[in-house]
Amino acid sequence: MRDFRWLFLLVSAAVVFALLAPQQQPGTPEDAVKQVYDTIESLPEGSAILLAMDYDPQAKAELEPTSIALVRHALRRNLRVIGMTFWFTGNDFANVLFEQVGSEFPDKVWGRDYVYLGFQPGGMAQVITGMGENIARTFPQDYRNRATAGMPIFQQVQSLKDIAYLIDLAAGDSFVGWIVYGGDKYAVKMAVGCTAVSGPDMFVRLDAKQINGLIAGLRGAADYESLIGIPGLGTSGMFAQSIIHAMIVLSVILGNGLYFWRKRKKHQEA
Amino acid sequence: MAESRRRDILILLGCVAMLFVANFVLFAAQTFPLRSAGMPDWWKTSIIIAGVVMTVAMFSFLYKDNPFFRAAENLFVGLGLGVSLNVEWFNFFKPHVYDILVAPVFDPTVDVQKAELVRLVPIALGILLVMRISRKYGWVSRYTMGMLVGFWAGFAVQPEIHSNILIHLGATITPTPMPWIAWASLGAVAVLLCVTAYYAPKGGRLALGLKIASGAAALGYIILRAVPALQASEAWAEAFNSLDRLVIIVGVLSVLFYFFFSLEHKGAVGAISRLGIIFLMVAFGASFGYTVMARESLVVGRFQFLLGDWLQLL
Repeated sequence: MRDFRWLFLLVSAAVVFALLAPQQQPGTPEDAVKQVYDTIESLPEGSAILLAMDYDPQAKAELEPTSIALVRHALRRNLRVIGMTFWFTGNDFANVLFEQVGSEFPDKVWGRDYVYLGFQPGGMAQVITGMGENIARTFPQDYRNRATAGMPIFQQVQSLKDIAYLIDLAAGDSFVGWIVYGGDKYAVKMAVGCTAVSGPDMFVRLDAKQINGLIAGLRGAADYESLIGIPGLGTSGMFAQSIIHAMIVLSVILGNGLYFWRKRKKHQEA
Repeated sequence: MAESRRRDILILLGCVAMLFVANFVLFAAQTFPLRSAGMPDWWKTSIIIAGVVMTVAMFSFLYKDNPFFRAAENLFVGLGLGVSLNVEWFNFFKPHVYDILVAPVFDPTVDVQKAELVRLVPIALGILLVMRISRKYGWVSRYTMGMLVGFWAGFAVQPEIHSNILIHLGATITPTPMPWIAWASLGAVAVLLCVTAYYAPKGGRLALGLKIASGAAALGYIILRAVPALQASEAWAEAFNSLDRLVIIVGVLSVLFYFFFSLEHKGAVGAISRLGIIFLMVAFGASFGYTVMARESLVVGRFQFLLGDWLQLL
């Protein structure tokens, strides 16, 4: 099999199989993921959490399952959820996500129990600082162009200081801005959900206690889904990813085995 | 050559036919058009079909470079630029400049509010910045640049130093209470690693033995950390945390040694800097592993789109 394109085809077939017949994998959720779950569980009913949906379609596969699980968990716990983004290209589907998960809870009302504020231009540091003063003034309108000033959700939540838990779902380095100008400056308890690429950078923040939890990549999403007991795209995606891992390991072993076998054969022939 | 070209054309026609047949079946089975509030949603349906065509065009590069991949790639770049212009116009220029200062000029029923004229100052500063394109008058952009640098220095220096340097410095040198036996073990391992780093490049049986001993020590620690019973124990968890902390200190110092070029990397300095290289390699390896996972997630995401949003099989 000299043409490596067969490997691509094999991986595709494996992913299709894994997605069509997903399995819940055994294992214990990572401590950093469990910290996020435990923090949300520990918040009193009516507390507000802020979800910064700072990602776009490129990172949708990794961060959307996490976002869905977080919004579901928070609404199930009767927390108030406020969403916003610094990524314009992710604005529309973040709104769809809030609408879809919100519709799963018929007793929850937009503007009272949850709201998606949309995209706010003007520079991250400035906008976060503005939210530290007054969220409704920084976002005069929500995604649906309704005035935020009179919304019940903002009667008790006026600034970042009133946010019980801030979670940045970051495809890039937006978490730095949130930590520097939000979490550290206003002493807001914070966690990060990020793509696997950013995962290693986040452990430093976790270690320094700038964030108290971390949900990294599909593995993090699958862990969180298992914690809330609702398997979704993260669980099936992680199963597919595990199959790819197994294929990569097998390919490496097979490739090395063949290499040494050929080398030995050549040596014997010589 | 002709055989290869004929095969490429056949594969291309096969892909187009499969896309056509799949969509035909979806329409015949009334999965398409998608429905919103009971009504056919042609816009959403078209977006999904376009997404499928673009995804297949992108994946086609895995077979070989081709005009469909190039077209999809250029379309992506063009769309990205279009979206950026849209964001700039509708979020910055139109609401803050055009609607307030320009539109009233053409509409006699609307007056420009005097208080809004203050916006002319940042507009003027912006124009000065654009003057960089002129060789003769480019120097005027320095005024705006100076203001920008001054603003950011005042606004960001304190929080950035606090959050990105001081907090991490504190976290690195947090005191670690440990029994003497743990200190002694750690010291022995540190000496073993440094001696290994010193002798490893020299080769021979001693180097090989030291490499095996160091590898066994690192592997032993990783296995110990993974034992669930030890993780559940408070005493062991504390010991692990203390050891982690010390590993971080040793790692930071040895990596700093590696980047310290005022001393020649020979003898003890060389050994410590080689230990720094090992730490760097471990960090790069972890990053690479996570990156591979992220790329796999992208493939999984595309297949979730094809099987779920398009074929409605998930």
